[in-house]
Amino acid sequence: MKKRSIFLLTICIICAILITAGVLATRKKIIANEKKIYDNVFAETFPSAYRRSDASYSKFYLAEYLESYGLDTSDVIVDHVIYARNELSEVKGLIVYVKCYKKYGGIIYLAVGIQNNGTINNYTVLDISDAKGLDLLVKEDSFKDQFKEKSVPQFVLSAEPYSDADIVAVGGAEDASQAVVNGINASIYTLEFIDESMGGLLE
Amino acid sequence: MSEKKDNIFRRLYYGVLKENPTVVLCLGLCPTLAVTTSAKNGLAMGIFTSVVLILSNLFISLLRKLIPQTERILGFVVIIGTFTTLSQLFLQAYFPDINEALGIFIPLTAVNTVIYDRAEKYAVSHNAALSIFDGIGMGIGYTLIITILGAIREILAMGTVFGYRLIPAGYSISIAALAPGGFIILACIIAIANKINGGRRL
Amino acid sequence: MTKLIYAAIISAFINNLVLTRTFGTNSLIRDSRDYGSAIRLGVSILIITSLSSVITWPIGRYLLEKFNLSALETIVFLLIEAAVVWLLLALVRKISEKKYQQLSPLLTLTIANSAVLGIILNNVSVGYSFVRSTVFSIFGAIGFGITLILMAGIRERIRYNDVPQPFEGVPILLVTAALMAIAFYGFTGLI
Repeated sequence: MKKRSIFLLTICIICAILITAGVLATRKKIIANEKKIYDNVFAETFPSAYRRSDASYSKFYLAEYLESYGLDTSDVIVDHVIYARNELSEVKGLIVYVKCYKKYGGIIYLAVGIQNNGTINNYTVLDISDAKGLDLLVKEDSFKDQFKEKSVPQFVLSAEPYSDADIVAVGGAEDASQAVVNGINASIYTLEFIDESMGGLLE
Repeated sequence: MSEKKDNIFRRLYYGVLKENPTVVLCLGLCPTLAVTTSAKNGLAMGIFTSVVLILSNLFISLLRKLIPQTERILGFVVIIGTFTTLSQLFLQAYFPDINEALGIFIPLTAVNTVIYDRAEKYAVSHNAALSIFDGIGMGIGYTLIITILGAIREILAMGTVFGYRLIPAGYSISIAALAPGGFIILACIIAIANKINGGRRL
Repeated sequence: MTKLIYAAIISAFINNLVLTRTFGTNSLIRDSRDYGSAIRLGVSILIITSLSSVITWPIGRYLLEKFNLSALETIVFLLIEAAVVWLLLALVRKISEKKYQQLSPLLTLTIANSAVLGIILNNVSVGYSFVRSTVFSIFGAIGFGITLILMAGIRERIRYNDVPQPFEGVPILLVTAALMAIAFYGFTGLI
């Protein structure tokens, strides 16, 4: 009995040493990778921004505002909002970080770049959890192109693109597509909310 | 099998063909069905699992005198978990996009039945060299089958293979990328292998 | 409250552990030989998943993620699962020695079951709240048990059917699972 425990303990100690070595060896590279993703978000969502600053707003009232449009906290949670400023430090638009819940489980974490006049620049998918099948296709340009350079009150999923506001879902990943549409709508409403609550800071 | 005839080439032959882990032994079906939605993911997962398999076979076979018989599952859990974590850290640092595409199935390699089965049936009773080649053989066999499975599912569901478009967009069978399609296509592959193998049943 | 009921139904049927997320297919193929083994495995997975989920969620959220050590989640959760199984076995041994001999290999093998580890890792890495995690774990395991029992029943039905020779054994079970998965897609209409 004692011999067995000592053997198992030896194995555990060897493995613990190996894991510690691994964690320490890769720590720097992993942090560098995360920083690269962070910087890439700005290049993709708002390339023309010269400076960025955090926006301060009331999360509680924003959640209420979103709920009035039908997006409550089990659909969408806005994480934080960043102002995109030009060289003269005027606010030219927002970068909205939003967590969108897929209907049957899983979260898609988006960063959406939206200009003052409500035109969507682009969005970046930061994380898709519980990705099944074709979910990762919402990262493809063929899906993103349906949102770019459009300024509508809200987007809806439909079978055919009858109008600018209609989005055709990725076949086989309808709940992921609906989650992305919810997230982008949430960023449009966030722009309206900050516009109203800041009293016309943006156009 | 007799000890004197069991050499590294026999291990490779068994791993790839005669005792292929996915098609003949039907082990490790869980990650197989989930990540093979595209050929590139399948290949990446195969290589990852092979690396963990080879390392854990090597380690368990080196420590086989130390692992107690009645608590060997605990020993396997610790060793296989360690190598999975190390490989996962390596992927996170140097190949972050593969890490994201494979998602939660990277940590789930720690409970992959292929690795446990080879550890229990082979690594604890044979020396290090044979165990390494057992791992290599099983790994090659596993990677081959799931890359083929991934390629078939990708062609059917998206029309591309490894990113090159073969079928025009719009002529796709989406269900091939979801769970039912995976089950059926894997069943057909195993049936074809059974036919080739001359009627061996599990 | 309705959100929790929806979450329960979703995780048991619509986002089924084995038929949609393909987490536990190895157990499905091997352990559904008859009703007895299906029920035994289903109940053991339910108990082990629920207990492990309750213990691993706080450790994952408040300990490992605070210190940015989420890469260690795999092995820590595996060891917690092994500890839960060990406790369970000790309990069974106290109650009846015969049951212990019978259940020991089964319970030891569920440590290496990807359904259990998959669902507890998923809950922590996605970042659900504690109540939602627990509901997902319990009802996910219940859905897994129901799928096993259904599979056992279907296996009994097709035992004497005329299956083409290459498909005998595992392939016909996979095709059965595929048809069950397609049938389960009908549950999306519940919500």
